[in-house]
Amino acid sequence: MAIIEPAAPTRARRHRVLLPGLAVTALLLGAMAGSLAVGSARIPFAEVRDILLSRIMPTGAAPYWKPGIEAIVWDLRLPRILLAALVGAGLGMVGAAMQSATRNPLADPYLLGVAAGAVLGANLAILHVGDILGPATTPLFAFAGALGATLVVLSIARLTGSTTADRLILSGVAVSFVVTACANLLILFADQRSAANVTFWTLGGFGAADWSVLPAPAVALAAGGAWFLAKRRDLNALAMGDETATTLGVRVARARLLHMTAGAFITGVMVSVSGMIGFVGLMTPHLVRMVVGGDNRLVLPASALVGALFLVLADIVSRTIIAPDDLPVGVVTGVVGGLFFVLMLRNRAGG
Amino acid sequence: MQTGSGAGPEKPDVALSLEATDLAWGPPGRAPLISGVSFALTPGDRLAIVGPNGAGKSTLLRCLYRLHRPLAGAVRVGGTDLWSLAPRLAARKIAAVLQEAPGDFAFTVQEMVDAGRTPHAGGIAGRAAGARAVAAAMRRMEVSHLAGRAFSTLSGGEKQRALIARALAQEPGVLVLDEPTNHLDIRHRLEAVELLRGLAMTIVTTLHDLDMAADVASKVLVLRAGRQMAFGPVSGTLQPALIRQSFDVEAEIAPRGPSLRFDYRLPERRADSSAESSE
Repeated sequence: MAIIEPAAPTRARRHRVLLPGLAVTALLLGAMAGSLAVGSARIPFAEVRDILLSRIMPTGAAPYWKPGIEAIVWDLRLPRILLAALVGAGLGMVGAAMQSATRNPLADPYLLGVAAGAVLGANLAILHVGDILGPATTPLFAFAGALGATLVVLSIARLTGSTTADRLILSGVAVSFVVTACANLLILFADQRSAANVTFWTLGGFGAADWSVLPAPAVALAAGGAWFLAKRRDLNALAMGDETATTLGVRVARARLLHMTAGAFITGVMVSVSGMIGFVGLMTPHLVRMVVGGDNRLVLPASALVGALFLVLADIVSRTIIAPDDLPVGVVTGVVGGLFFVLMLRNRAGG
Repeated sequence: MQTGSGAGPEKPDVALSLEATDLAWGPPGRAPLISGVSFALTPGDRLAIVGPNGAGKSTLLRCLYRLHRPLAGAVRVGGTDLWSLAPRLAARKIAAVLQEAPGDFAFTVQEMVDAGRTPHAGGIAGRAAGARAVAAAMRRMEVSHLAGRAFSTLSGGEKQRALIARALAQEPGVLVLDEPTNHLDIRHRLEAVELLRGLAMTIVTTLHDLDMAADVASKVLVLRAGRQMAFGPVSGTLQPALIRQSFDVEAEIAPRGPSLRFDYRLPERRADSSAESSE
């Protein structure tokens, strides 16, 4: 009856985690490198490599490539790829954190109305306010919108006397509808040209990326990631249930509010630089948990890594599938994510 | 009954006293679900809370593990008011084993038990002590060999043991359990009884079964409709009259070894049903 216990379960686990971790990192770097070469203009890998090297460690050697090619690699594609990775990492991590904080594996910034709030804020900034606060206007408005929507969702859940995780999702969906309607109203009242721009932006994409766009999402990812990792034990406890978390010394309502606010902050910034990109936050934590288990010490960084990989790949698809035109990335992730969702339902029914 | 002398094999001095005075709680704006509950446990006491469904057993427990803030009265653990403590500090004194399902998050047994260290300070020294406490708790509950298994794939008895291991990893002075023998088969129920009797801490547990209460506990608290019917040593307190009043059943009590066994039957009804309304 008694089974001989493995000598060191933690060490076995570390191996189980280390290998996929290295593999995903290698895949991510490979995808980013590949992404630099593909697109409406194909550029040989060697040339991409030499352009990067000459930029990072200038040797003074005369370039053998056309300045146009260098501009495509360095000024267009590289910031775009980095942005895709940053946004994917941010959304993947926020998804993992929000799923734990609401104890609902279906939670993500989109279902909880956070992203809709961010879009509303961003629409307001782009269409009606202008850059009154400088270049940070749109991210700040998006954050404010995301935070506002989060607070509304939380207070609805509270007012209706249902702080349970399921009700939280339902009120998130409800708020999402209302907020999206308001965002659409803003588009209706804006002038035709910018309305078309905003609509395209809302669909999600990295076409507008340049180097100046990157600091905001990088800071948001670093700050948010540090916060969530520091609070990983609280997140684990919340995922085990509100009462259990209470018995473990977590102030549940306060902790949830803080984590949702942090999630709104990251989501707001990511939406403001890339529009609505759904399913990353929902999907990646699921895939990750299948491999590493439920502990957020591993789930958070792994979700960031897999989210980054997913969006870099999605961006390659979006740039090549109808080249020379861009397909909005949100369309790609929507299709992939929807299919994934159906598969998940099937597996759950089967299991 | 002996109290406080039955110290377990390890850490004989961790148990804390637990005291409730005139405790009341109810949801805001409604009639209290429990009121006037008072009891005092010395370190190492084992208290069984019994009563019919809806008597307020779980509500009372929730006051003890700091989920519900009492409307009146107070809970004192080791002499300190529970609500004067920071939540983390309170969680180092009182741990709870609940019936709450742990959700859909693929936690392994190791991760589950490790969550018991949440209320303890981090740091390198803290981490080493934490790892030791987790390993000791898992050995104590005999779940070490399940460390890498997903919690959701365990049997009912294994789950219960893993949850108790998590509570032990908190290194509390008081352990609160909500119906720890629910959903357990006969063998695991007996094991649970033995296990609770072997723990060197103050224990408060709700139980459906009076036989079980007599086996596990040194003291018993009887609730009915939110009121405390009795509190005291098991053998002196669980008398036929009290059981009739509290549970609406006739009971016969027979000593069995060091413990008690109960036989029940429905009370005889008169032709008119006035007995019910006058009760």
